[in-house]
Amino acid sequence: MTHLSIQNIHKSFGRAHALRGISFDVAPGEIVALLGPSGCGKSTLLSIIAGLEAPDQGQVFWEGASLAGIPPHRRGFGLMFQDFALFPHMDVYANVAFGLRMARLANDAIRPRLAEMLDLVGLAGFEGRDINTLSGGEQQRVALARALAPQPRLLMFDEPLGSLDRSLRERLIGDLHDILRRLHLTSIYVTHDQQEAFALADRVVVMNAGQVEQIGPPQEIYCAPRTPFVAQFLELANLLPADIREQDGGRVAHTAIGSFPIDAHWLGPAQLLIRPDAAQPGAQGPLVLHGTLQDLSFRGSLQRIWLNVNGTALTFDLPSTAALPPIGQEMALSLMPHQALQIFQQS
Amino acid sequence: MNNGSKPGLKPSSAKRAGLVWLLWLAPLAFLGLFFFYPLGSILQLSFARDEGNWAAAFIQTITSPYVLRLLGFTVGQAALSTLLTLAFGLPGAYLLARYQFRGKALLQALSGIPFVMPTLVVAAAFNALLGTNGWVNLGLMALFDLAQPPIQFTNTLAAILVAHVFYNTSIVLRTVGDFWSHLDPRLGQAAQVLGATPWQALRRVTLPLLSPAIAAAALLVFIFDFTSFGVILVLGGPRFATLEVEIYYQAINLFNLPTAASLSLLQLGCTLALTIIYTRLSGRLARPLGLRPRTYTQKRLLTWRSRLLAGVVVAAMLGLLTAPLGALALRSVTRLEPERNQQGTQAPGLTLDFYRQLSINRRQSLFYAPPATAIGISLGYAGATVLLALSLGLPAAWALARHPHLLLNRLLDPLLMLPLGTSAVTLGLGFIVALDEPPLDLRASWLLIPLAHTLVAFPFVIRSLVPALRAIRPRLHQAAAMLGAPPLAVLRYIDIPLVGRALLVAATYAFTISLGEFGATALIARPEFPTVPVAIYRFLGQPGGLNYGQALALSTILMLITSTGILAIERLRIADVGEF
Repeated sequence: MTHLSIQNIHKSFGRAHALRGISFDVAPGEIVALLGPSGCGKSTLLSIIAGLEAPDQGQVFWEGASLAGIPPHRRGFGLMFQDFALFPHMDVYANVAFGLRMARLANDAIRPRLAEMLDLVGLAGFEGRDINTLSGGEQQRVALARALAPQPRLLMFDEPLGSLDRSLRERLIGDLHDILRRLHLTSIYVTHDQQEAFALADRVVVMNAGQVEQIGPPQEIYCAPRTPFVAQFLELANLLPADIREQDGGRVAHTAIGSFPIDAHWLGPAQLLIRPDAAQPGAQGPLVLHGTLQDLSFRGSLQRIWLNVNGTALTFDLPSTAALPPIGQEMALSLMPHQALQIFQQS
Repeated sequence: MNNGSKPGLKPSSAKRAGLVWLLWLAPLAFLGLFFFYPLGSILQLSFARDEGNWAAAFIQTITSPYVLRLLGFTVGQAALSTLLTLAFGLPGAYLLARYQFRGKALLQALSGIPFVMPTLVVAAAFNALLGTNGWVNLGLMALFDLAQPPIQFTNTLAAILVAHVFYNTSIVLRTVGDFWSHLDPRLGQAAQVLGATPWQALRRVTLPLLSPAIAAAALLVFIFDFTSFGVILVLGGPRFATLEVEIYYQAINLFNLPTAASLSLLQLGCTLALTIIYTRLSGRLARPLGLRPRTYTQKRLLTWRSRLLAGVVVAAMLGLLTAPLGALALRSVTRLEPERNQQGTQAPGLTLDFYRQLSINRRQSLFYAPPATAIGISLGYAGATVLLALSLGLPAAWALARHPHLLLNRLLDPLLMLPLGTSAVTLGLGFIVALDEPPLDLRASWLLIPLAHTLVAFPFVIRSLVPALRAIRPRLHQAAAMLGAPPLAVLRYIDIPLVGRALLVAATYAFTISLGEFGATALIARPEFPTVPVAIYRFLGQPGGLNYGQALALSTILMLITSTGILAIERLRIADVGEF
């Protein structure tokens, strides 16, 4: 059964096309991440689902019924804003209780629910605090509690961790993951950060320039990007212009650094992705690259190298334990044949 | 979501400009009628004396040695006062900006009190502390058995300077301190890592970054000192006259309106130029580089050095603040010498007589209302000022807050600040000159005073409304809607409370400014309807302990009302960045 269904949404601002035919479904209890660079239209899509904006074309359905014309306050959705949008004239209690008040809950019913919410986000005892004196992380938690309190049918997040520093972000991603799973909340999470999207979502919708590039579980997106854009956005950086030809009964991609046997059902111009994470040092195996070790950077769990092959610099992530020659020396890398190569037809 | 900046979401700019014009209609009409028209009349009066060569009389007046000396003294005392105020205020600004300590909020609130304190009350307070009959002199005389008061404070330049420092330190604390408190301390630390000594880091990095804030504060302080009136009149005595005081003498005592007009014009030229520069500068303060929240920039007093600094600064601030005001309050309930009246001879000591006498019309005069009536009159005028200032200021502030980048708004914004740089005496003179004949004959109308007070309060009302109105972002409306609030609930729970607090702050400013305003009121108040400052001035001008005591009693009442007002403002502010 689908909960939320987004069908062929178009939206433009003046001459700028923000959204061009977006469609996807969300199942009950599912966490969907909208991932894309800034300006790709993901936040606009969120506003349209929330009812803060109307689409030019297309519709949003909730359990089969169209939401067209239903104002945001009657949709029963929650939205956590990027800048939190906490009410500056209310304390923590009044902010979190706002949605419950709007639902006409009695004070007796609000109080335990509020304590529960503040406890959930780790802010027990903060009821009377002035919003303006809270730190960024605390404000973020209040915003989360405020969005959760009215038990929305669908909870949306608009880059909620964007304004926080890295370590705080790491911690909050974990907290958020726990909370969303525990409450079994249907959620849409907008972000430009692939780590956040992968860590939180059941499915990821990658967007670019107002269109959907790929939809799938995080692992699928990462292991099998469908377009060069997705590959690039995920920092799978080795994209080479290629030409696909027939050779010895198979297909071969000709590139500036050599020819690679590939599976392709078409001929002609294409782009070849050599995955940085599917190589190991050594000259064994069917696919070996020879080049000069141009540079090296140690990243802890892995070491990133730049290999110069016939004048083209390729990036590879090798295990930290791999023994490497000094910089400037020749070295060989063997590629895993089934994972390392991916071919995209030139559009 | 950044849809706020996307083009399709806003109404067309033509439609917006039309709406904004509508908002500006009443405020502009008000400024036109009661600010530009009176000032134009002064201009005309000043130039109309010599038919043939219209500027000759004006130039002759302002280049006479006497006026040049006057101008020299006015500029000199203002410059000296400004420097002293900065020297006194900057360490305080540093302390408040960079450190977190117990009692800081209270100290900050208290330091705001002098700013709205009526000049006459400040003058009376220093008189009560350091004057011939002030506590210090009385104490020294008693201690060393002197016949004459040893400290000559009243009628000296020092008195003027000290009162100006007292009066304007809060401007430096607020303008520089606010900016400083949001300035990233890592910038200074970065300089030290690059090899700068703490002093070099301060001089080369922090001070240049602070310089727009310091310059803005200095300019505002200079403008206020330049147009200082009550302080000079009461503490400076007859030996000292600034342009402002001379305008008043010429208009009221000598009834030489053309000369007064020429002097006003000279002063107006100076202050308007300064105000325009100030508006530009404070505009730059609005978008400074990478401001950080306060929790990030402030530390506790952990080193003995910082504790010493805090101790000295806090003691100095409290001393400057509480000593004169405390002296005033105490003196208003103390009788120093035996006095004879209807009830017989009264012994020296604590007494509430000065307060009791306030409701008695001792002169049996028709024109002199008893002082208690003056309180009622002042409160009435203040109420009218609040109504006027809010109903005119709200639409203008709304227009400024909602469309800050509209060309129309950017042009009109500095215009609203002009009354700030126009001396109150000049305004009063303009009212006398312009509004005494048809089409606008308001000579006999009580409205003149609230109108003048509204002009004086207008910049403050605008500057406290705009930031608060800006805080009402469309995002808050969306957040409320997402939490299930229908449009009416959004209005009730979001807009009205937020606007309401801003209105309360603005109203308090208008109220306290109206209560304390003296310069314009001194010129246009009708004798039978004196305001409290006018009544204080009258009492100060009359001999006798009872009159002096009553002046101090009235001052104390005014001090209590205005302090309550400013403390209320401190509590009601939402964002911690205010523009005054």
